[in-house]
This record gives sequence, structure tokens and C-alpha cells, in this order.
Amino acid sequence: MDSIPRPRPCLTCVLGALACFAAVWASFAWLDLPFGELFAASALTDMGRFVGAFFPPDLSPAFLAKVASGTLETLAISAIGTVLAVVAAVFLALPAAGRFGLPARAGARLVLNFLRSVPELVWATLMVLLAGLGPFAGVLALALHTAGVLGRLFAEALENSPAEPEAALRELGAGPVSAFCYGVMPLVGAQWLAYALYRWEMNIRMAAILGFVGAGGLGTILYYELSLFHEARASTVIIAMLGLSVLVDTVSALFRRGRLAAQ
Amino acid sequence: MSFNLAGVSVVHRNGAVALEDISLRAGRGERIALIGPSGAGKTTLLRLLAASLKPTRGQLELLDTPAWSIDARALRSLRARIGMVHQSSAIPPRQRVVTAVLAGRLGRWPRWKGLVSWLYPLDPAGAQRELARLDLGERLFDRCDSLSGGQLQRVALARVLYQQPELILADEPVSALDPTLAELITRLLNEEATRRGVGLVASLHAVDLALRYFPRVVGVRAGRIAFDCAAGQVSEAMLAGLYGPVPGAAGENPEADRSATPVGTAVPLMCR
Repeated sequence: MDSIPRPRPCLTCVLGALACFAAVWASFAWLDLPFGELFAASALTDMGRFVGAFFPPDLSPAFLAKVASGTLETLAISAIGTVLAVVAAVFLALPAAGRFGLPARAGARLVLNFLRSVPELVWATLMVLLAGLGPFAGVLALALHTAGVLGRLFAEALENSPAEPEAALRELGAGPVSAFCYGVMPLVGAQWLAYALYRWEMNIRMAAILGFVGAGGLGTILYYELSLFHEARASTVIIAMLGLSVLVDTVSALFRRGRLAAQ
Repeated sequence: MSFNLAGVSVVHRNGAVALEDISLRAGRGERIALIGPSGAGKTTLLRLLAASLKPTRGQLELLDTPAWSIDARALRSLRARIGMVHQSSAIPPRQRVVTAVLAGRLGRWPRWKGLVSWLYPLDPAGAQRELARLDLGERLFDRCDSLSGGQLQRVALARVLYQQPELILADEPVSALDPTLAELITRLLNEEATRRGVGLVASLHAVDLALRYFPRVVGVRAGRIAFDCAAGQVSEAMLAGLYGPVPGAAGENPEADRSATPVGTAVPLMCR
């Protein structure tokens, strides 16, 4: 009996699976990855010696003070970078949400795409060339990339919020600024704040790395100590980065819980 | 005079005729209910009266002002004198009740005052006064999303009362409410309009409420005024004509509705 219905053979699926396998195999062949050497006995002892050099971390008071000031610098870079990004994002999101006509919308979206598509580290490298080594370059780098990300998120929140409240206020004679504050901000404000805090959290982590290209903060210290093979000191900096990350996660979790409880 | 429409037509950009040759006038303090099937043009008519839609043809005077031959500033201050009770969706859920009510005067306040009051309510006593009249005084500083549908509709009403308009409009203010609340809101609207001596135009789906609370009832059908009567003169036959099928037309197609026999022929009596 051939009355049992059968699915039609899917030629595309078979070809797609084969193509994936071929791509993975070709990648291995192309990169020539020495996985075998990684797990050889000699490699393992080398690795053990390398990792061992990181312990114990350098806890001398002078160096701890330096790491503490680097941590503060990292926090400050992320905070100022995020605040600047929020301001720029608001001003770009308004035209990007189509509030000033279609040409302005297209222009603002182009700017946002550009800001967003260049990663923070690339912006940092460019800003170091432009503004010199130091935290200012880090602030600019974070502000530029984050403005691109937040601008798009803010614009989407604007476009997805219902239009009635603002229209109702325009109908009773309110000006455009008042109508926006009373009719749109209550709808998008909380979402904007949540996006901004989330990006700040990411920027704290990113600010710790930006120092690798000379843009200040913990990364600058880490890069310096690693290039001099001061593993013990590098280990202190890495622990500080880890601590900062855990702190940010904890605080943000507490904050979110508090906000949820408040509602 | 509240308003005067003479030969007003509204044609949408896609060519659909929303209102055709409407002539309607109301003196100060007149309370009018607009009834008629969905899509008849009641909302369009209210938007004309709110000075938020420009008629394609005809004369339109609101509060003795020719609404569309004045400059933008004058138009804004005209709009500040006309209050529209919206459905509750026009109130942002995360806003506090006091802010939502104070927003009613944004058209009268200078911009700085509106912005300061946005951050810190400047006239909570004024908002409280209107809310207390609607039995909502104790919810002044609550957030709007903690209110029930009926309470939210009263906030929308309090906003319009705080605006102190000279003409109150309401676009189906009670269609989302249960019958008891619908009656309460309709009664409050009429009481406040009477107390202040201002005009009131409300579109309603509940014909019984329209006949019971409004002295004057205007039937709208297929973009035209079917009848314009005192509430006592509205007959069963007129209502049947208003809501019944349009002869020779499929109800779904508005174009066909317009080209059908004029509605006036189906309605036996024109009061005005």
C-alpha cells in the first residue's frame, strides 16, 4: 500500500546541509588550526607555567592604588560617554522617527547606521589619533558608537508608541514641545531609561578594554603591564575588571528588582 | 454661537467622500447628540468642530471665528477654547492623574509654564477640584495605569473640564464602558455642560442615552445629516431609517453607499 503520505524530499535542505559541512571543513583546512599541538603534553606544561605566572596577583599598596584610580577612570569614561550618547541619541531619534519629514528621517537613519556600524574599538583608535591618548578619546569613542545604538532604539520606541495622546494635546492647542513632553515622554521615557542603563552597563565593560588602544582606564594599565610581561600585575587588573563587572551586574539586578517592585 | 457649518464637505485624499454638504448650527449652550451607524461620518464631523480637520468645501465658523482663515497662533488659541473628551487611550498609562488633568490647559499656558508643570505640577488644587466633582479626588497622585476603565474615562473628562472650554466635544465617550458607567459619564458630561453654560456635542452609539440626556439629536448617515430634531420628536421610524440597510447598496462598500439613493428619502420627517 502506498497510501501513506510522505513528505516530499527537500532538495534545498540536503544541499544546504552539505554546503554547511563543506564550509566548516574548508575553514579548518584554510586556517590550519593546530588543535593537536594544543593538547600535547609539552603544551600543557607550558600553559601551566604561563597561568602560574599570574599568581599570586600583585597586591602592593602602590599598585592597588593605581588600579583603583584606573577603575574609577573606567567608570567615569563609561558614565560620561553614555550621558553624551543619550543626548545625541534623543536629537537623532526625533528625525529618525519621521517627525521632521521623510528626507530628515533618511538622513538621520544614515547617520545612526554609520555611528553604529563602526565598533567602539575602531572609534577609539580614530579618536586617539584625533584627541590624543587618554580618557577623552575613550569618552568620545563610547559616545559615538552608543549614540548610534541608542538613537535607533529610541526612534523605534517613538515609532511604536501610540499617537493618540499627543494628537489629543495638539487638538487642545498645546505646542509641539509641550505635546511631546505630556503625550509622548510618558509612553517612551521608561523604555528610553531602560535602554540607556543597559548600554551603560555594557559601556562599563567596554571602557575597561578601550585602554588597549590608548583610550584610558583599566585597559591602559593592563596593556602596559602585559607588554612588560608583568603577569602578577596584569592579574590584579584582570581581577579588578572582573570585580567591576560583577558589581555592575549586581547593582543593575538590584535596581531592576526595585523598579519592578515599585510598579 | 457655538458653531456654524454651511455647505461643508470633506473629501479624503483617496477621493472618498466623508461628509457631503453639511449645514448645521448651534447656539451657545446647546447640547447635541450625534447618532448614526459606524462609518457615517460622526467622527469626521467632530474633528471639523475641533478645528483639527480642514473642510474641503464650505464655510466653517467655530465660536464665532472662521477657523481656517486665521493664522496658526490664532488657530491654537481657538483650539484651546474647544475641549474634546477622548477615549481613554488618549491618556498615557504611566502618567500621574494630576499631570494628565493639568495637560488640559497646555493650550492656554505659556510654554515655560507647561514645561515646569510637567516636572512639578503647578496647580494640583485646580486638578483636585475637577476630579473631586467626578468622585476621583483621592486619586490625584496615582498613576493612570492603576485606574479602572471608568475612572480613566473620568480623568479624560476632568482634563476637559479643567481646560474650561467654551464648547465640549466627545467622540463616543462611553462606548468602552458598561451600561451603568456609560450612563454616569453621559449624565456628568451633560451636568457639567449645563452648569457652565457651554455647548456640548457628543457622538453616541447608545440611542437611549442620546434621547434621554440630550435636548437635540442629530442623525448622521452616509456622510449626510439624516435628521436634526428635538429628542422628543425622534420617532421609531426615523431610527429604523437611520440604522437600516441603505436601499440598493452593499453595506460594506462606502463608495456604493454614497451613490445610493439619498438617505433623506428613507427618513419620513425632517425636523429642521
